[in-house]
Amino acid sequence: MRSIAKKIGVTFANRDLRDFGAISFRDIPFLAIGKHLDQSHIKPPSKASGDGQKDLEDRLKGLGYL
Amino acid sequence: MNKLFGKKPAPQKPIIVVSGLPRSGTSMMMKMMAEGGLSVVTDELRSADEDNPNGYYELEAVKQMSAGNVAWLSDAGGKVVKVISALLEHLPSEFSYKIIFMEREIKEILASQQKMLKHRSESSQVDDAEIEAQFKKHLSVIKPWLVRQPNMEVMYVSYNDMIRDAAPFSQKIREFLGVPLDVSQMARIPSRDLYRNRKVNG
Repeated sequence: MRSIAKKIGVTFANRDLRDFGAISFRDIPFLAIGKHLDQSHIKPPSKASGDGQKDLEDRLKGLGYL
Repeated sequence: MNKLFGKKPAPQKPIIVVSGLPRSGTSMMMKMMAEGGLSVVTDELRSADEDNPNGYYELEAVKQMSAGNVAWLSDAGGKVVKVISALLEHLPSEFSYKIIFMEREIKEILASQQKMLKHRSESSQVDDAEIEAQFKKHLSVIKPWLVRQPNMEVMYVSYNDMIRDAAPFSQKIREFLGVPLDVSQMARIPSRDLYRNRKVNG
């Protein structure tokens, strides 16, 4: 995000957005002015993963990571 | 003011975090960081074994962050700690983090996890196709979450590309972290000898 904003004369570019994921129209103003994206509407990953979260946690416990 | 209220000041330097899915090359990256000259935050409780011959570089307290065990982070500024992606959301917001997020072909991750489960005499209740879908979903939610955290900067590193040629990655990591690192030593760590879970071999 910062690298985009630092480029003089560039208000918005769709490159370097590969890892943003779920980019929305609400993010564009923040990107354009080089501010951190709005996080008010986003849940923590464990709450956003849905029904499969328990399976995921069981796998991580089995591997010794939880 | 901090002294007056007995509050420990936040570390000046960002805490360096190596993250990713389990078996995505996080331990290898931790070793690279150590060889590069960074101090590693680890208790070495989990010792090297056939799954990680060079060690795990883990800290038991990381697993307890969700229960409030975060005091140790006050002394972690400028040091590197391993936190798997599922636990990143428990990193306290009062510190800043530079995160090296390891990525690897998902089939290789699953193959490696299956070997590890077997070595640990654990069995999986869910088949790999379902777990693959869950891991993909997990990554699809954690990346948007990460990019919206004002105290976290993330660099994604491909394990598969790094195994082929680690030198440019080592240089980029040094630039991202903005700390002196011995990149030539770092680049020596990724080894094809450790690359045992390619899709072709299962």
